Amino acid sequence: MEIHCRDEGDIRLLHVAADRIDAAVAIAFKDRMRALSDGAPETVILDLSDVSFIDSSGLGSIVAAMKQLGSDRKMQLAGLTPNVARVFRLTRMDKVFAILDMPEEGRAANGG
Amino acid sequence: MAADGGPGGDASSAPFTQRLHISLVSDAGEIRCALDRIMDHATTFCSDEAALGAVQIVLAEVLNNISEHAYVRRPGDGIIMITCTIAPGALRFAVLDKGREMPVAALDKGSRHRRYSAQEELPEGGFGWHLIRSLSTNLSYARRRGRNRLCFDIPMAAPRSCNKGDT
Repeated sequence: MEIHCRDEGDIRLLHVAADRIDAAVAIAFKDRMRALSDGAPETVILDLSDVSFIDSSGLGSIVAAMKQLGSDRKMQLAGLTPNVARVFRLTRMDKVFAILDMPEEGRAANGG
Repeated sequence: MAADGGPGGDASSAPFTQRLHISLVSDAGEIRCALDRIMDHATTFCSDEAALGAVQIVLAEVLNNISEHAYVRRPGDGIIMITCTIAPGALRFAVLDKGREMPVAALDKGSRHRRYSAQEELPEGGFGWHLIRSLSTNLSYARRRGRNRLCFDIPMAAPRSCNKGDT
């Protein structure tokens, strides 16, 4: 599971370089996210602009990744493609995550 | 994974109907391939992006449920058969497996809109049936001769090339 990691000031930008996050990769995704969350600054932005599809396992692994951050840090999502946004909306997870249009918006909003 | 849907396969003789049959085993990789094959087929007849997206979501959840629950005792090794029929106004699916019986309660629950408050309470699973019920219509389940058969429709806007004869 390829996830590119870049720190910009107090933001960690994680770009998922995969077409889908589904049952086939959910565990690998969770493990990789755990590793990339270590020592992360206060804000972690997960860029999903390359992901065209997530299933409930993928959604669960994103929720798990957010929980791994604990209460001191927050996860924001960026670049949701239409079918991914739909899964978040239908499960009401769009109310749980801060969802940005593009990663740049997150950097601007956080003064980076 | 085996598929047939060409003229020599089981393409229906009904004028506005095209069928695709796929057999696969309940392995995550095979499920991915089956979804790709069905999406290719559906895209040939359906230009409704929302409907195509719903097909991908619902079918993935149905197949994952079979893999994780019906075939929990034989992971990655249970036979699944899918029939996709292009009908006027809907993509129609029948999914068969020979695994454990499905708890019928899954079908009966309403499409609950959940609200989550504290981060600690957030579930990491259990979204599947909610997505299936939200996006499909005519959902039905039957258990016969040791087989599970789940049928559902995904409504779609006017199908592509279903009205070839009309000018």
